[in-house]
Parts: sequence; C-alpha cells; structure tokens
Amino acid sequence: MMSPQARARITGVVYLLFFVTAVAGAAFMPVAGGPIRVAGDAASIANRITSHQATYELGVGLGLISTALYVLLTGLFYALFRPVSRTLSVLAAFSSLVGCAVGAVGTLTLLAPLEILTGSYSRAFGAEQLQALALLFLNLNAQANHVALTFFGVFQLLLGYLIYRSGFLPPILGVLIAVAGVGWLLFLIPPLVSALVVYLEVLGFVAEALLMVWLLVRGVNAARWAELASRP
Amino acid sequence: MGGAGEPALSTHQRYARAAGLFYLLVLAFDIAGLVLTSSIAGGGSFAQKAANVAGSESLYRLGLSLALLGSLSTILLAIGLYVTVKPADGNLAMTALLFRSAEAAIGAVGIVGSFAVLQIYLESAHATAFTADQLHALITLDPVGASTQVAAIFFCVGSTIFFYVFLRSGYIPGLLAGWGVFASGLYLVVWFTQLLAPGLPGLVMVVGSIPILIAEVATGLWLLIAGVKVSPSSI
Repeated sequence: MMSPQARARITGVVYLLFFVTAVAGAAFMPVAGGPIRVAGDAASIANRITSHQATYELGVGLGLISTALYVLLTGLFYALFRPVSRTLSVLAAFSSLVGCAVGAVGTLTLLAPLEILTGSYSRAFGAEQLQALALLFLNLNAQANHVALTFFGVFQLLLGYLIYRSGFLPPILGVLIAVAGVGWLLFLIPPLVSALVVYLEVLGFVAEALLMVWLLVRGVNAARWAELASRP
Repeated sequence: MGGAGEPALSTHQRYARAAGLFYLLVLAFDIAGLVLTSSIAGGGSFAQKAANVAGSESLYRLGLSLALLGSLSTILLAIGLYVTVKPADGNLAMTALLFRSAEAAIGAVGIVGSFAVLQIYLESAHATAFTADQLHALITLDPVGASTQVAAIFFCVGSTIFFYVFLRSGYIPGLLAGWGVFASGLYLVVWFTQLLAPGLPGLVMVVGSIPILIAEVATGLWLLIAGVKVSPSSI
C-alpha cells in the first residue's frame, strides 16, 4: 500500500501539472477566455483566431489536458481524504467530476469558432454572420465556465472542510480553500460576480496554489493520516 | 440501550432525512426555475419573447440560476440516497449514483445552452448580423437542446434503481417504493417515446410526469419526517 507521504506528493505533482497546463492553455489563447465575456468585437476576435490558428488549437488542447488532469486530481483527493469522511469525500469527488464534465464540454465549444471561421460556410453565411456565430460559441464557453465553477465551488467547500477536519494538513489551508469555494458559488448570483470576479479569481488561484505547494513540499502528517485510516 | 450500532444508525438516519430534504429542494428549484423563465418569455412572436426577456433580464438569469441550483442539489440528493441504500445493495446504489450524477452533468450542460438562448434574445434587442427570423431559427436549433431529454432518461434509470433498492430493502413502505419504480419506469417510457417521436402531444408528457412527481414528493416527505426503517445490525 502506498504511504500517505507518497500519496500527498503525487497529488501535489498532478496539481502542479494541472496548474501549468491550465495557465499555459489560457496564455496561448489569442482571445480573452476565462469566466467573463470575451473582449473585443466579433470581427477582431475572428481575425485573431484565424491569424493564430495553431496557438488557438494548442490552447484548446492544453485546456482539455488540464481538465483530464483535474479528473485525476479528484481521484487522488478522494483517496487522500477518504479516511477523514468517506461520504463527504465521495460527495466532493462527484461534484468535481460533474464540473470537469461541464468544463470539457465548454472546451469543445472553443473548437466550434475555428470550424465556423475556417470551414466552407461562406456560401451560406455572410462574413459578419460567421463572425457573430463564432462569438456566440466563445460566449457559450464563458457560460460553461460559470456553470462548471459552481460545481467546483461545492467541491472546494467540501475539500476545505475535509482539510480543516483532517488534522494532517494545516487548518488555515482548509479555510482558504473553503472561502475560495464560496467565491465560486457566487457565480450563481451574476450581479455580484461582475463586481468581484477579479478578487474571486485571485483568491481561488492563491488558495489552490498554496495547497499545491504544501502537498509538494511538506506533504501530510503521516502519523495522523495513518491513525485516521486505521479507524473502523 | 445504545449498542455499538447506534451512532452508525443515527448517521444513516441523518443521510436519509437529508435525502428527503433534497428530493423536495431539487423539485422546488427545478420547477421554480422553469416557471420563472417560461413565464418571463411568455407566448407570442420571437420579437415579443425577446422584448420580454430583455425587459426582465435579471429575473430570467435568476430562473437559470435556480435551474443550476437544482442540478447542484441533484448531486447532494444522489449522495444522500447512495449512503442511505448502500447497506442494502452497494453495487446497485453506486450504479444509481452514477446515473444521477450523469443526469446532473448533462442537465448542467443544458443550462449552458439556456444561457446561449438568453444571449440570442438579448442580441436581438440591438442591430446584429442576423435577421429576427435567423435568430429565432438559432434558438430553435438550441446547441444543446436535446440535453433535457437525455438528462431525463439518465434520471429515470437512476431513480428506478434507487426505488428498486428501497423496495427490496424495506427501508420505506413497499407501496411507496413500488409506486416509485412504476412511476420512474413510466417516465422512462414517456421520454424515450418523445425522443423517437418528437411530436408527442404535450398532454402525454404532463400525464406521464404526474406519477413521478407524486412519488418524489411522497418519498421526500417520508424520508424527511420518518426516516428509514432499518435495524442496527444491517448497517
């Protein structure tokens, strides 16, 4: 059986890979994706996509890889926190998996603009219409991110609680992750989100980055983990 | 009094009651969201609907957020039911949990599509690259329009399994569990028929949904108030 330290370090490594691919994916996208509306008018966005097609595709690919890594991470978190509460770990895992499924569908909507703008549809639609359709799909991606984030909000809220209760990770990390989870749940209230989105993103990034670094560098308190795992 | 199984029994009852509460909450969120969005859009032409939605955009968004809360609550309901019926049959409980989680995921994707529909309504309020007829056609196309039907089918399978395990376990009255199996099965037939023959009269859908509505409300109330009938040795 794998030691708790090895579990923690593997979780940290996968977490790091997720961060790298997610950030790189966002950086490669020639349009401003993310959880808020894409910036610019339809024509300029369409122009940026077609003139940076290769980097756009790379960005979409990295986005899909980061989603796959988060699925893996969800399984690793489940294994790590199962000794704390099996039921809450299952609940957290399923919330995250649904978020990943919605996120993956959202990433696929990023491929539609490419097909619309570079496919042979110009005989049926005018250039302006094709650009507007491409923008519609980009905005659809932003909405998919909103929906996925609410599921990740539940996941992080539960994860924060599990960390707090575990005793094998610092409780402050649990508090930060739980607060970040509450932040993602604010996406259910759109007027609040538009005012707070930057703060929510920074909070979410810092909380998750700290957890990742802690798992990589310090791991977990192995004795406490073993004590919880040995409970009937 | 107070044997070794007592704490586990108490936890089991708590999850059963939570499942009861979430049965009711999921219904409340889904119905409230549907009523709110459809009453705002109203009837009439595409232009009339677009004007109605644009005039009550915040309320319309609230309706979509309620639908999303319904989808989130489905996971909480499914976990509550999973923990409740797992002692009776762990494999079937996990299968039902997977079906209900898939329902939540597909339903959430459907909500993404609903936000796209909202965006099209809002776009029509000002000059766009499309004519009103073209925008109407885009809404009719609805990028993820079939998601409701697909999610409903996953719901029916998951619900049938959960009620079947309830029936076998005797955790809730047999009549209630049996009615749930019948109602879920009937709803499955109705949705499959709708998928194969989309022109099914609306009345058939309404009549087909009444038994499952009764089953869910009754089971939700039963679990919330009475919990489950289970002996400490079985968990």
